[in-house]
Amino acid sequence: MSDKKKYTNIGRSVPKLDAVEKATGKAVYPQDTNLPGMLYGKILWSKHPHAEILKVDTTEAQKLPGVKAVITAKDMPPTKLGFAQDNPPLKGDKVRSLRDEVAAVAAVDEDTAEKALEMIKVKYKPLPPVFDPEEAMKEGAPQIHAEAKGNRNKLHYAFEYGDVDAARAASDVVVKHRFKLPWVKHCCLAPYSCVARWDESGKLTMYSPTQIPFLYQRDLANILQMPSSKIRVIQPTIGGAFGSKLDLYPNEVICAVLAKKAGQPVLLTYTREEEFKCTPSRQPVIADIEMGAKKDGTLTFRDVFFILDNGAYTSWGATIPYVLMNSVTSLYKCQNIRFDTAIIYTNNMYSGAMRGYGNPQGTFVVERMMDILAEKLGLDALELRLKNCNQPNEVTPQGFKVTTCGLRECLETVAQRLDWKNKRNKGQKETGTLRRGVGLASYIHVGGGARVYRSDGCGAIVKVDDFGHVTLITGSTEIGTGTETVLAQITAEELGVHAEDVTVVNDDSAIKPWDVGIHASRTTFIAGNAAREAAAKVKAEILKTASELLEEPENKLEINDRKVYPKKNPEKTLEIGKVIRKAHFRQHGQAFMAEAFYDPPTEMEDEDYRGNISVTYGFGTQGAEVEVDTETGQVRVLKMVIANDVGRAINPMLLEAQLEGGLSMGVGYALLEKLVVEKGEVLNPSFLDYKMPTVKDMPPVEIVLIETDDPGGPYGAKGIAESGTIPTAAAIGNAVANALGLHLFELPMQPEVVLKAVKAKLAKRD
Amino acid sequence: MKDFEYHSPATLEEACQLLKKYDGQAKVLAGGTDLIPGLYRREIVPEQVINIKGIPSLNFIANEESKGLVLGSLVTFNEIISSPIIEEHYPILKEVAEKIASHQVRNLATIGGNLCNAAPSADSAPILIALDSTVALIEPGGKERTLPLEKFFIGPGETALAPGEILIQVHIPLLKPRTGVSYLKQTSRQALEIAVVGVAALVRLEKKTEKCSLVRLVIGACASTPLRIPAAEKILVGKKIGSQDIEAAAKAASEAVKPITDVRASKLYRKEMVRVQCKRSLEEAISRAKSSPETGME
Ligand SMILES: Cc1cc2nc3c(=O)[nH]c(=O)nc-3n(C[C@H](O)[C@H](O)[C@H](O)COP(=O)(O)OP(=O)(O)OC[C@H]3O[C@@H](n4cnc5c(N)ncnc54)[C@H](O)[C@@H]3O)c2cc1C
Repeated sequence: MSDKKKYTNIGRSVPKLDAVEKATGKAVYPQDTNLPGMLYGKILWSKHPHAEILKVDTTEAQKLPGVKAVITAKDMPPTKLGFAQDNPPLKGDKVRSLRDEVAAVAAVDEDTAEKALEMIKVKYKPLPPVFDPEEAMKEGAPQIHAEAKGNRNKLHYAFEYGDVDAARAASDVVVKHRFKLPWVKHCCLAPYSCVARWDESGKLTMYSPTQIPFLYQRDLANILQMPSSKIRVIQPTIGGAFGSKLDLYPNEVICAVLAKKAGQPVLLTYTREEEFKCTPSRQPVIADIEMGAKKDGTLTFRDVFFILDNGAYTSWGATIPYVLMNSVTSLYKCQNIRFDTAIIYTNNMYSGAMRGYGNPQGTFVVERMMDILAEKLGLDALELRLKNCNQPNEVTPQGFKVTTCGLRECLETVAQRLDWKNKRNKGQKETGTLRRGVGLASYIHVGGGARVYRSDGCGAIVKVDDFGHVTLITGSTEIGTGTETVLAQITAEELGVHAEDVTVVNDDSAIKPWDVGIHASRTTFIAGNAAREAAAKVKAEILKTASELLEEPENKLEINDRKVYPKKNPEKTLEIGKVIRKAHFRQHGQAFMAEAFYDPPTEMEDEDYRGNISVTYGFGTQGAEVEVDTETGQVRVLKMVIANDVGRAINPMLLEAQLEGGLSMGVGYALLEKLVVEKGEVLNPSFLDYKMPTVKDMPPVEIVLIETDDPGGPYGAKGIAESGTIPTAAAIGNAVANALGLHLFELPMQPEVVLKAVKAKLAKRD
Repeated sequence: MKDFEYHSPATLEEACQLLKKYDGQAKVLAGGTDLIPGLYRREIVPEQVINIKGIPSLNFIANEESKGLVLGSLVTFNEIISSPIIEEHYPILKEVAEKIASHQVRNLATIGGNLCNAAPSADSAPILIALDSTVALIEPGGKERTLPLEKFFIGPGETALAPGEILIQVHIPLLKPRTGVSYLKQTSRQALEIAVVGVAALVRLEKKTEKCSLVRLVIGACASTPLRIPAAEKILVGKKIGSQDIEAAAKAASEAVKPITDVRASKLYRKEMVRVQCKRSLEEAISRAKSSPETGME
């Protein structure tokens, strides 16, 4: 607390720098692009979930006036997309899901493009499809990719630590259950949209909402078989990402190829329906989990098997066990772990990255089981967690070196704010129609970057001009989370100016230095450290000149409020701009800028999934109070409490907004959201029937920020961006169980599901 | 969206002439909250669209001695919510309007559009039927007729409107003394929701004996049209209603409805919810009848 006072920018709730532009509708998103001669692209999707393509006839479509390019697999390079290189941008011989791209058109307007799509004739030979991963694993199931035996993706994540079998035998209590979690969607406000423009020299500019501009640039170059130096990536305002733009997808490649063939720029924007059906979603999982404990509550082992529906192609969805594993191995202390997965191809749409990256699924399963275990042990669920609570300086089975850890305080704070002692187990004794309950759940997640790629780095360039205006050029990306604002605050703090003095440039691969991408809650931490380092270098230069002017040694000087002054004589101030002008406009003058590249001191996991991938880890607890209507099965969340170890709140307002936004996704996951997928088809591809919580569904949320001042973080901050979503469904699930005295093993806990369970319980009692 | 010709008449006569000219092929546009999404999805591909929003004579709220409340078809749900007349004499209409869509949609959505769109889940229908409302329609030739609202709905998206006919008014009789009304809408979210089940109940109790002299129970979203349940009403009329009677009526309603299974709910769940919500709606209507004023127009 005491050192917080000395900051002028850190800990200040600076409104988002781009808030007004967005709120007034002036921000320019990719779909707002209007280049001279720009055409509109549209994709023809498959009519079958699994079929051979016998013939694609585009003759008629090509003749339609206004059509400038029609492409099929024949126009594409032979390369494939994705981590497993199994996804051709346009499908030539076979379709494997209803969202498969078969052809594409660029025309003078969308209507003409749509008309042209209707004129493309495709002849299919339907093949037997398979939609259920467990069916797909069986012998004799339709084979989706020739290379993938038994429809198993070659990615396989297995982890062992300690001796699970011995620990099971030595346990006093063992519980085992199966959980099933659904497909859900990011629901970005802006549907996916990109623009491709080729110049006369053969250079390609993509206007893209990508979260990974530099990996995107490389991947796109590889697939188009051209040097990446000829690709420039411009990131206009991005209308939400949540992991959905973490990979390069066929639509971007198609857009580029259409533009090349047409010789004109092409805009390709998804409709909301396409956004729901065709962009990768959070993958459904089936989890078989067994956990044990000693009588006194000491956790003995966890043995977990996850089946993931990968869908038809491999994007990052297939790699989520990498993070999902974290909650199984490292949330609360447990010394014997077995974790295994089967990632299964099906004829569904394919899965992708989404906020939390598997951790919401993992945490739901582990934290629901903690409550079930406590019940069986006859222990209080809070006590069980406190007994096995993570601690500072602990090393988890995966080799995560925990530095700061506020989990105990988070648990205790949430319990106190929920009135745990009085409210827990009350509902089960009630007799009326409405039953209340409380529940809580915690999370562990990377909080200091995540070395999932060879570099976890980010570059920054800071320049201060003659008037003392600061520009931060950062490799990182703004996807709506407020990173611009937070990075401006960090830069300003280091330089002794105000966040409002800082212009942040972050939208052009030709200008900004490298960054691995905006993911893994890493930007405040990694890009923040990079910005701080670059700012510190410029500050040193400013102090050098000021030292000449003020005739004081540099270490006796301070910068604050845009002025330099001797520490012992704060009246004797020099405005920063003046210092700079003095050094600039003289012979052998000097410009004030500096760069830094921060790559955290972490390690990639080895092939056994051990390694300290993050500088520090985020912890937090959420608590829920719910009311269940036992006649309708409806669940109302009456109140939520979040206590989060945030290291340091750089911008408390944005931090709380990030947590609340995350929490609303978690509320949706718990109670409302589900893509209804039948025979590979999404039956609710609109906001009418895909139910995100509205503002009225959001309960009052109490947020307690616990500042552990992390030594590795910029001004002590940890990353928290995904955390709001991670434990929410588990906390609500535990509260519902507490209210009803019964357990649900599926999400979302829609009224019909809850009512069925209530009735089954009543039937048993009679 | 396919191209179409667009007209915006300033008077009802002009609108009628246009409708006559296009011989029933033109589509009427009011708030557009049902029509425009339908055009985008290409579920409707009209050649002609006639926007009636510019016709002032279709937009008014009046309380008339003989007809009761008269709503022009263009009255929006937010206008219903903010009308002092409605707040004073027909508070149930405000209550129902507040359960519809969101503030933004209610600024556009009209009562006429809600009825003419004839979605089985339309929220204004069950309560207006329970209130014994009638609708006034006008033919392209200018001839007017009225029809009990109960007879207006034929199927999903299908009404008694003849080609080119426009709904111009809704007439709602004033509530008699000792009469209570209720509308319960079950949804999974708190806003922006289509009813899984909607139940409107009107109950009138006799003076002193508190015997039930009239019931109208109307269910939405559970059949191809809003459905009145005579079997349930019969159980209650003439009785001093006890909880067992309510249970029996709710059960009868649950048996009478013919819901479908869709992404919002299963058939079985809907049937069960009809029972639960009928019970709750009847209880609310009875309690309101008991506390409603004794005097007034009989
Ligand atoms: C996000 C959203 C949420 C919604 N939530 C709800 C809800 O909670 N409850 C609910 O009941 N509805 C809901 N709706 C549906 C819709 O808003 C209502 O049905 C609304 O009242 C329709 O009125 P409108 O004026 O917009 O009709 P329009 O879309 O203009 O017209 C609807 C139909 O009626 C015809 N029509 C309109 N006026 C007349 C007339 N005077 N004479 C003859 N034909 C006419 C049109 O030709 C068209 O076929 C929702 C819609 C949206 C988009």
